[in-house]
Amino acid sequence: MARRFKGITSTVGAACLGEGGTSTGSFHEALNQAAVEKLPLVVVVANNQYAYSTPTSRQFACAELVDKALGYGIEGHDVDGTDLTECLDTLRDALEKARSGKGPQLVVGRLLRLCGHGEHDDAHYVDPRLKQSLVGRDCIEVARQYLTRQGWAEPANIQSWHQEAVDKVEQAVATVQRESGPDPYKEDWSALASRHLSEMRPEVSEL
Amino acid sequence: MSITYLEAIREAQARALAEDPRVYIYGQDVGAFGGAFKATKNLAQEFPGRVIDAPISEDAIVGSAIGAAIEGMRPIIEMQFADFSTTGFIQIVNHAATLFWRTQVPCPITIRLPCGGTSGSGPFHSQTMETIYAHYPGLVVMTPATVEDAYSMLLEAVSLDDPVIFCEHKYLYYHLKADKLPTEAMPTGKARIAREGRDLTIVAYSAMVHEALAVADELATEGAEVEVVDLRSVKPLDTDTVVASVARTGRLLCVGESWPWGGVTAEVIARVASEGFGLLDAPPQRLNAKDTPVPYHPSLWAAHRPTARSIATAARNLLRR
Repeated sequence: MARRFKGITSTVGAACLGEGGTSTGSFHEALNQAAVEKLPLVVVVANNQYAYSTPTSRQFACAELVDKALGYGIEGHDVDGTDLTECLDTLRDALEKARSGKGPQLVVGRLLRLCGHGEHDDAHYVDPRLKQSLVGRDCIEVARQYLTRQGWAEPANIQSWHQEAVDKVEQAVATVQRESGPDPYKEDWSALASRHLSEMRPEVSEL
Repeated sequence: MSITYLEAIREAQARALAEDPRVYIYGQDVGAFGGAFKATKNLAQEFPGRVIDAPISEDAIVGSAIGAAIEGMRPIIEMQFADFSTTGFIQIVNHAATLFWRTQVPCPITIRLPCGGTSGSGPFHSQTMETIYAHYPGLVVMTPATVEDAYSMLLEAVSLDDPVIFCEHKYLYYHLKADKLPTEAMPTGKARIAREGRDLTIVAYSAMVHEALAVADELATEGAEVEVVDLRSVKPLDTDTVVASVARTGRLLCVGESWPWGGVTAEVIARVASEGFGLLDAPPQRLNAKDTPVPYHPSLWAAHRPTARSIATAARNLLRR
């Protein structure tokens, strides 16, 4: 919307969320607002079947999550979220439609969260039948097999790309861990950009 | 020629739109209709494409304004009634107020809240919300009591790099008039001595300033000189001006239209007690609305909020102590 004010028409906005987020009021308000304004927006929902421990049966009652698009008068795209090429094709289609003035596009990818909500969570509540179904496939493993099968990459290539990514993350973590933390005594404790309007009572800072 | 508080707000927005292409106005019925109170009258016609009707979606209205501010725009958001801003509360206090602290990216949005009671408006169209927003770090909360402040503080709000909660009082919209728009302004963060006196300080803001001034007139006929301090903004709160006034008078009465628990009046008294306890000749007092929802019935409504009559009674009692 801001880009439109500024006369920039070539860009498409994108937002990602999980299926749990679609139950919030802000999801409804944002999609309705974007549809009214016919904004070039692609909203991608990763429906990984669980919001923390809550299954989709306790999250929404429509037959398919993508049906929500109908209510907003926008186009919905349902895609196998474990299939890399299908995801790429669907997202390309959605981006082109958004860019060409057809309004917001809702993309829902079906997949399964293969770990817990956090490290503390063993995800014991996940239905074992889901793990055995098509939706329970590991999308990275599926993509790896596909690339090999098509002859687009050798297993050794994939292994080295994987190692590169792991190294990059580990280096970033090591860099951050070497940095010293912020000094509370040097912090000015102002939450405002207009520092002259910050309330910093002298008796507090002298303590 | 005279100009009302409401017209001053309309004129400030017209000027902001004219002077800064980054400014736009977004809210319910603000476009061709000109707003529920006509605060944006004719602005959609004068500034095509920049005064836009929003769906009834306060959450998305504020959320999109934050995004636009990040992109370099300076949105003015009109909440149709202050009461409705609670639907956008998460965007205001969790996102707008924390953005600069989290990211060092400024969030210059102005959120206009038509506040306060008018007779018969009831519990969902009468609230004053300054206390709840002042509680959160990262917000500036303005409470103009005069036509001049409504104009100049709204322009300052738009120019600030922070989210501003602009509390404009609906009772003052039509009742308050000035001869002309101001050409100079006091900066936000400074309270104003609205009337000088040496016997008692009444600290007030927004519509209550005028009730306090009426009390000062009335008590003057009884030989008491009341000093009235108009806070102008409740955050930041100009403690120095309040303490200096109490140093002159020795007595403090603080008046607010919002509810008593933990409000602006409590904050003022806490600050005076901790920074100027020795200046007080009597226990500091405060008057607020009663701790119930705002009533519909005009006779209950009139007794729910502080009035010149109840303030005068409290002031007389305090002067006797």
